[in-house]
Amino acid sequence: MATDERTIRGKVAIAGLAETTYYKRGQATDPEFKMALQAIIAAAGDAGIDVTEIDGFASYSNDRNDPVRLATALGLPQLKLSNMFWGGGGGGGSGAVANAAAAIVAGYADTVVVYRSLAQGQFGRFGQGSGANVARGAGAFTSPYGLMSPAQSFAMRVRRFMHDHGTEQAALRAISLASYQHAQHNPRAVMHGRELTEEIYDNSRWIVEPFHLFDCCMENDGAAAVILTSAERARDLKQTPAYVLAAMQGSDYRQGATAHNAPDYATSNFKTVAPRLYEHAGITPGDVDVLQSYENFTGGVLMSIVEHGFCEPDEANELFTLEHLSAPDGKLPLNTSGGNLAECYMHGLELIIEAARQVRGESTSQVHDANISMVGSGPMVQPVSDLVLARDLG
Amino acid sequence: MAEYLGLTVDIPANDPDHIEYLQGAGEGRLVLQRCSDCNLLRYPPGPACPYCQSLEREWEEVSGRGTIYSYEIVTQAINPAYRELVPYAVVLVELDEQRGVPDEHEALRVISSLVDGDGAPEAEENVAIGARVEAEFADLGDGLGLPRFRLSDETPEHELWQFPS
Repeated sequence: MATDERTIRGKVAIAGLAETTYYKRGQATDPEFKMALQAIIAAAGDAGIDVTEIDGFASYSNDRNDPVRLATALGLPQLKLSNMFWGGGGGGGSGAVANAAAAIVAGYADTVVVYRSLAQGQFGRFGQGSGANVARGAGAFTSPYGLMSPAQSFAMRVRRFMHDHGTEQAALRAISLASYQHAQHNPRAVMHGRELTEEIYDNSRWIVEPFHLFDCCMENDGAAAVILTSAERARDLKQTPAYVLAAMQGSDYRQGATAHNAPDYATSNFKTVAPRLYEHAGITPGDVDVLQSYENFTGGVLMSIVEHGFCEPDEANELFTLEHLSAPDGKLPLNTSGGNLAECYMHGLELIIEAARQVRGESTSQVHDANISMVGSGPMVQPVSDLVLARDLG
Repeated sequence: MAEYLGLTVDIPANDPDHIEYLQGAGEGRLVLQRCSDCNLLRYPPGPACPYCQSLEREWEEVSGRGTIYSYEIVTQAINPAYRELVPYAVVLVELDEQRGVPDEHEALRVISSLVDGDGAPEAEENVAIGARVEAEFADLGDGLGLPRFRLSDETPEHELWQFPS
């Protein structure tokens, strides 16, 4: 364990959380900025603090609702932190929590909200890929070949991993089945009431092999927020604190090569991030009670879980079964709210909220006595990030 | 303006790393950058050597021969101009030059299309990891070209692998 002063271990907690109604893409009845305000106000209420106590904001993926606008709309007496995680799309979710936590430990701000709001009807689809009719710069190395969407960009990585390690489609399917099964217990989930079976999965259309329709995240509208504050203060607030044991971000050697030329190609990009996370958290994979792992595509979830040390690459077919991935009794309960596949594509912030709910004992697919609750944000993108929450500081 | 399948390829003259690669292809040559200091080839083209950080480089023609490292078959076109093309193969080709240098994981891997003798997408049943390929070039106009690959008649160095669907 990294025991010196240069960690955030146990110094900060998630004290409040909330989300708006989650909608199918384009169906939000409120504008994006108003949904951001709704989530933030509700998260403050959940924490039992006055909204005006918020003094910092952290987000990711170029969220359009910037802190100055939010602070002005909410009438905050002063803004002490305006922070954006740079790059990585959904890979910045846990990174935004890391930035908020670091700012609290450093004394920059006291009550920081991490938030994300998406109204894709208002602003256009997020994951559509480039339909633009022009290739510029490094785009000349990919788009003329018809490589234009996130699914198309990631399929070749996953396929090479499957080639290298004999991974079967059934392993990817298990991730999707677990998410949908958990969503059936979660009334917030957009796919609540929409059961997924092996047969429905197998018969669903290919987006691009090895991704069936159900291997790909949804696209949704909504907003979500979590409130972070010092661990000391969180203990005096309304909710059970979800202590931050560690949060980490990063990217491996040359993973940003647009033309797919990172030497380690078949990777989710967590190989250097995960060891640093575990060191700072003072835990090993065997300590993790429940895991939320960002699903842009199931293949990335599988590679990410392997790179976090939950199994060897060649053992994935054994670990990735519905039984092992299901709450409450599975070996590795995964994406217990339904996640990006079946709860809501809140760009992974719903995974962080679910991780905190597990610590509080409030999940709709509660893992018995969950203490160590982990989140992986954004496989295969650059950079990625991770978060470990805990109920007990131990 | 250079164009490929209805897609405008717009590379400004002050972006030599990208335009000179396509100009080489316009002359029917697959060219890569070789670092003037550490002498290693690199891909994709760019202003800095990832091995020694030198900003000095020269262009060099390579053989255009390689092996498919990964691939996918696109069945749903994102750009309307590509709708007539589906299904088409996108391949990641590991070039013969500089494999395993400077370490065992390194290789010059190039994203491209796999096409048949007529320049149409190669049939899915013929696309496989391990298949040997060679470069050919599509004309983009304005002196630019686009490197593509077609199957060669060389014996694969290992057993071919296809996605089991």
